[in-house]
Amino acid sequence: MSTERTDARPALVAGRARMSPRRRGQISRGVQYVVIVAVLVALALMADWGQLGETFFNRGAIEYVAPKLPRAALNTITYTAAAFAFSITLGTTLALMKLSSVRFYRIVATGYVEFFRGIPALLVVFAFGYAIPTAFQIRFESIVLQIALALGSVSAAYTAETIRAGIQAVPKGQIEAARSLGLSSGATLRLVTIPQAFRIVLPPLTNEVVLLLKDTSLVFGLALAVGDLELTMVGRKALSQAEGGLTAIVLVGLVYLLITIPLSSLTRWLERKTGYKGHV
Amino acid sequence: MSAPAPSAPAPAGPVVRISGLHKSFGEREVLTGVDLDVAQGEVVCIIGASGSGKSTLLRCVNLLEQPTSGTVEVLGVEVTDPDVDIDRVRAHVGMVFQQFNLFPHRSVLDNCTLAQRQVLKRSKAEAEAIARKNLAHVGLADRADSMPAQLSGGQQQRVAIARALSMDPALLLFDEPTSALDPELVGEVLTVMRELADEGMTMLVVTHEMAFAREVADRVIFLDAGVILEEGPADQVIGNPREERTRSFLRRVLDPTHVDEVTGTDA
Repeated sequence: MSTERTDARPALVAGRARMSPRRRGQISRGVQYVVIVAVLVALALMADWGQLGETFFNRGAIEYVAPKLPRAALNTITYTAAAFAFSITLGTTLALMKLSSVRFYRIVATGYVEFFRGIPALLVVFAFGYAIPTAFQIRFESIVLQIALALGSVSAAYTAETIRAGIQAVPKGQIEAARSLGLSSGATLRLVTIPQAFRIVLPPLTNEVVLLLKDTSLVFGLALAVGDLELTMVGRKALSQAEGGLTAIVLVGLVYLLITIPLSSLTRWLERKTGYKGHV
Repeated sequence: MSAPAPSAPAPAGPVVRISGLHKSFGEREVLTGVDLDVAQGEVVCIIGASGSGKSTLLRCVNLLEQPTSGTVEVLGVEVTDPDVDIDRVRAHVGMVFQQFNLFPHRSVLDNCTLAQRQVLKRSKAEAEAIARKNLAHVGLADRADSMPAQLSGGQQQRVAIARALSMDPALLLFDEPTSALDPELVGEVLTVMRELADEGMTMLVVTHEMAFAREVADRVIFLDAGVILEEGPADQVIGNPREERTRSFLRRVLDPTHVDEVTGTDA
């Protein structure tokens, strides 16, 4: 035992002579940067810039697509907003049903959630596009309503679970405090539980908006006579009608990003605006 | 009995009358036959080891816990009767919690006006005037527009008391109101409670603050294993307990470093 101890000291001193892990890490990072720069330079020298420009930023294609983008972007946002409004209304209802003391409501809500989470959204869009109008002899007056119902009923399955989790995350003491003041269970839900639950689920709900926004690209499944309704339709049509390789897709993709990235700033702003830091 | 809750304190009889109260959580029996009356203007402190059923007893008074059997009468209304609208009784029974339970999404003022407006249907102006009066009472007149998270624990608990007072309660229930506080903040809450007691408020207090209980309580109840083992004037129960279990509990509370060999196992 004691001999080992005295041995440890010389080993420690000897360790100082070799390269330390920190030094090794530094050198390793330096080597990696040298390699990365070399690869980038080689790619830049080998690339055919003219060809790349033609493929990704073709002037003709830009001129064809760009004028259609504002309206398509606006439609995309409108569909998203309408679908989200429906989703959150139905989702809240389903969440409350899932938490109900009435077994029947729980079964219905669970069935709904399982069903719509398990099938592709496109299938539901087809249903609202062809099957439902034929089966029930109805015509949707507005495309916005049609797409909101189709995408919203799928999305509601997800928002229902999110909101249910949010409601359950509100501390039990909050409900007890409200009830001890004489508030009814309904008033407690409306004034105490749900406002706090929404604050908790704000980030996942933003996520749901982004997913809905991207799902508006499924509008084509409604098989409408009109074209160029939303962004993906514009991009798709431009691909088949205009020259310019990927240009249309790149532009449309940029517009999607232009909408989705500020959404996260909006969430942060909303979180600040709702004005309190978690539970006390 | 389907009589509505009275709008004013019951003229005669005890404010709280508990008879033969049993409460089980599944197999576990927490209260095994508690009888307790609290008179108008009386301050009753409930003491006992953790797990003795103190909080459960308190929570049975406003039915946050549903008693398994036995009856609870509050202000002359038998709240254990399923035909009684418990919300109307609760509106007259304030409760202060260990964890404060202020509504974090509402300002201090809103915390104090929410139930006044919703339950008592007071106007905004009237509710705010009453809320401000009670905030002043607990020394927080200047924090009406703050959010709860901006306050210290002691301030939050005082807001919780103001919130309860704003309903003009005939009875206040305190569930270990200082147990979640930093030691230096305990005093400000106890001071407010002492003032309320002096003003004649009827109070049922679950507490570990023996000095407070001794000074303020008219009567102290020692709860042990789901029954009232000893009760009487504060000086007698805390100062000169009859029961050995009360004595050993008090030794442990008053001198936490003291190792009690006899009862050390049930701590």
